[in-house]
Amino acid sequence: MASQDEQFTSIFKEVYANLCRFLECLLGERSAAQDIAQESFLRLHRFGLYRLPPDEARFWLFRVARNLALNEMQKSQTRIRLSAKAADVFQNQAPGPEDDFLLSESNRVVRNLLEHLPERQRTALLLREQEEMSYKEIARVLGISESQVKTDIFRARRLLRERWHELHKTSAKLCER
Amino acid sequence: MSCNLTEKVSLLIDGELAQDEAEQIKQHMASCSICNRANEDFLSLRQQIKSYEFAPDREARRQALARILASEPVSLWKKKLALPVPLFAFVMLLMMALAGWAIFLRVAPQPTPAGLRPVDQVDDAIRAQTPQPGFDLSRFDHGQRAEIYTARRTPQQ
Repeated sequence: MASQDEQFTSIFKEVYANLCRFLECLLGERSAAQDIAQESFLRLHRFGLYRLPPDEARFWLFRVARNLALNEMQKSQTRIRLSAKAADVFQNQAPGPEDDFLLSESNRVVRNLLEHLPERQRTALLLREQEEMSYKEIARVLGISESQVKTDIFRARRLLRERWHELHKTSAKLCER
Repeated sequence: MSCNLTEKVSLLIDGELAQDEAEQIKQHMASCSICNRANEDFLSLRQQIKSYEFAPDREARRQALARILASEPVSLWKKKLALPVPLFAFVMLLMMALAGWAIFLRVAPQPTPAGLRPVDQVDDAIRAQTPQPGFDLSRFDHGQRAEIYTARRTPQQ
């Protein structure tokens, strides 16, 4: 039991921060990202690390975390719809002042770029760029084919690039004024 | 402005091309400004995404780990069984069909077994030949719904 806990602890230390970063980029929200990361690890602990083949835990965690994040996104979309009906004030889900303050400028740019991507493209790109997973590994996490991963990543890069150039043009215009 | 090979540039920076093809794309990029610019932009975006800062609070992380380790692993027999909806529907239908069949068997009139006839149809000659039956069930017949059958037995030597 002790060795299992040690094994779990080492995986937690190795993956937790990366999982939080991935979820924060996916959801655009820090507190939700940490909650989902902890829930994913809790599920792994309850499931039993010993039941997974060696080196599978990381992919298992990202797969579970992504599914939980999808649920969270659906919930928050429902919340937005409901609050939009109740009051126009809540129509835009702007980050709170505390969240805004904590975010560095470069993080803000990345979030701004990523939030315009479709979810699957965003997830595939994040797993590739941040986690350095191969297309085969990404396909395992997302449950899609490698050719779909290839297309998703390319489309994500193309969209991101367009958005990036738009942001540059906007900021250049603002500087000219 | 676009080039058909820009998608290959994306594969090249991910190391997903075979060596021959990778060399071809590198040569192509030397002469194609569109692909060359795409390569630079893709790498720059990669750097930005990779450098996204996230430093979780150490104390919060330690507490989270302690909480998770303190939780009891769920035993296999305590796990919730999750059946897919079509399978669940099929199982329910099967159970309903079995229940219906069982009720039908109890309610439906049983066919007369071969070689047996109701008591009132047994002619007197046969009745005379038949030795005293071991079980006389006629005492249970109160003129209601019971039907009494007699079995034709071979006389014992």
